Parts: sequence; C-alpha cells; structure tokens
Amino acid sequence: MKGIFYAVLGGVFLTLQGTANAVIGEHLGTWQAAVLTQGTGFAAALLIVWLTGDRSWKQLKQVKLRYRFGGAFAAFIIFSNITAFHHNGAAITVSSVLIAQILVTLGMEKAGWFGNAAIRLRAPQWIGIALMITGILCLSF
Amino acid sequence: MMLTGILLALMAGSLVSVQNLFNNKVNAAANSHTTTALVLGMGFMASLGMGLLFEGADLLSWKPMPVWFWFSGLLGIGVVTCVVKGVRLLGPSYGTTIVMASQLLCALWWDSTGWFGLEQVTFTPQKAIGVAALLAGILLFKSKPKENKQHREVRHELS
Repeated sequence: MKGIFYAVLGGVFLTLQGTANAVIGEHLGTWQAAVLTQGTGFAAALLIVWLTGDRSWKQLKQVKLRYRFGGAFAAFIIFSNITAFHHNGAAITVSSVLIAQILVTLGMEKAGWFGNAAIRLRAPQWIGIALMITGILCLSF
Repeated sequence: MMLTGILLALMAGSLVSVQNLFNNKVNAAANSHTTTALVLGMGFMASLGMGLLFEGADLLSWKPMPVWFWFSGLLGIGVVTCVVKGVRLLGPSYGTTIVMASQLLCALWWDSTGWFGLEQVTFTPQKAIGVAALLAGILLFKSKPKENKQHREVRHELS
C-alpha cells in the first residue's frame, strides 16, 4: 500500500513538474529551464541531506561508477523529448515515450537486471500490457 | 522526419527506464535523500554541459523571472524520491505502470478542468475508454497466475 502511495504521488509530481517546466521553458528556454530546475532541486536536496544528518553518501563508493551517473540521462531525455516534440507534437511523442518506458522496464525486469527475482509473464500480463498501451494511445490522441 | 521524432521519443522513454534502473542501484547502497541529491546533481551538471554546448554563453545570462521559478526544483525532489521508493516497494514494472497511470490521470483531470491556466480539453468517450483500458490493464498485469498462488501456499506451509 505504501508503494502504491509513493508511485501515485510520483505520478502527481511528474505531471506538476511537466506543467511547471513547460511554463518555465517558455519563459527562459529549454536549457536554462533544465539548469534552473535541476540546480535548485540539487541545492535543496543537499540541504535536506544535511538537515537530516544522512551520512549514507559515504556508501556511494560501493555503487558501480556507471550507476552513479544515472541522473545525467536527464539531459539526454530532455533533448530527445524536445526534438521529438518539435517533429511530431505532443500526442505521438508522449505516447511513444511511455510505451518505450513500459516495454524497456519490463524487458530489464524480465532479464533480472534489477536484481529481483525475474517476473513471470503469462497471458494475463501480456494482455494487461496491451490494454495499458491501448489506454495510453486513447488518452494521448 | 516523423520517424526521427518517433525514434527520439522511444529513446527518451528507454533512457527513463535505464535511469530508473541506475537510481535503483544507487538507492540499494545509499538512503533516499542522498540518492535524490546525487540524481539531481548529475542532472544539473549534464544539463549545464548540454546547455553550454547548444547555447554557449547565452545560457549564463538570466532574465528576471517570477519567484516561484526558484522553487520548481522541489518538484524534482518529489519526483525522484517517490518514483525510487515506489519502484523499490512495488517492483520495477508494476511500479512504473502505477506511476504512469497516475501521471496520465492527473494530466487528464487537469486538462479537463483547465487548471494551471492550461487550455481546457474536453473529456471525450475516447478518453473514458482510455482510462478504463489503462486501469483494467494494470489489474490484469498484477493478477497472479493460479498455480503460482498454490506454489506460494505450499511454500508457506513448508516453512
């Protein structure tokens, strides 16, 4: 239940962020907006780490180097997203992003990359994915 | 040209998944506050680099802007913290589908009410079908195969 709460709240934050970024991007331009939102977010996150006395950054050394750069993908995601948006508009872009995200996450979980026990995909799961993709397409276009 | 756009969008979506994987690995070693700070710090530096590459020195000349812009980063903290926790607690695929459904439903809700000065979009039967398909898909995805349940029960009895 706690997981559902966080996932739903994450979706709310993502939508709020998308709306705010659109307004900020229009005012400042894409890259200034990206620098501003992530820079202020970083500063506030550091403040939270300090205030909560979280010392687990010492353990970051145990994390493989490439995993520590995950956040940097944001810049490439922003770039491809915006370029795609200019080519095709919102509907195709948003639905393609979401469908790719579902399928790639599923593939990585199936391959056991997340370290959990590999999930079993049977007919109901595949029909479920097909229905979700239908839903995404109906909501985007 | 249309194909280029679609390929770029597919790439963006795949990168979001890879980013979730990486963040998940960081979170396995560090607390969620530290994970969030690292992710946003990396995003900040990469965006700064790409911005300088595309816009040069223009990137560094700031126009006056509304005060709330300075707090927009807090939304990023909410996103990273909640998505990492959701994925960890629910598993990657299930977690991702819930995040997406929430995102799509929020967007639909705000679009149809015209909140945040968004252009109001009418709620059509097609959208209603979309919501139904999305939610049915998630329930079906999460439904456990029968034999699996039995296996589990047997295991529980054994242990």
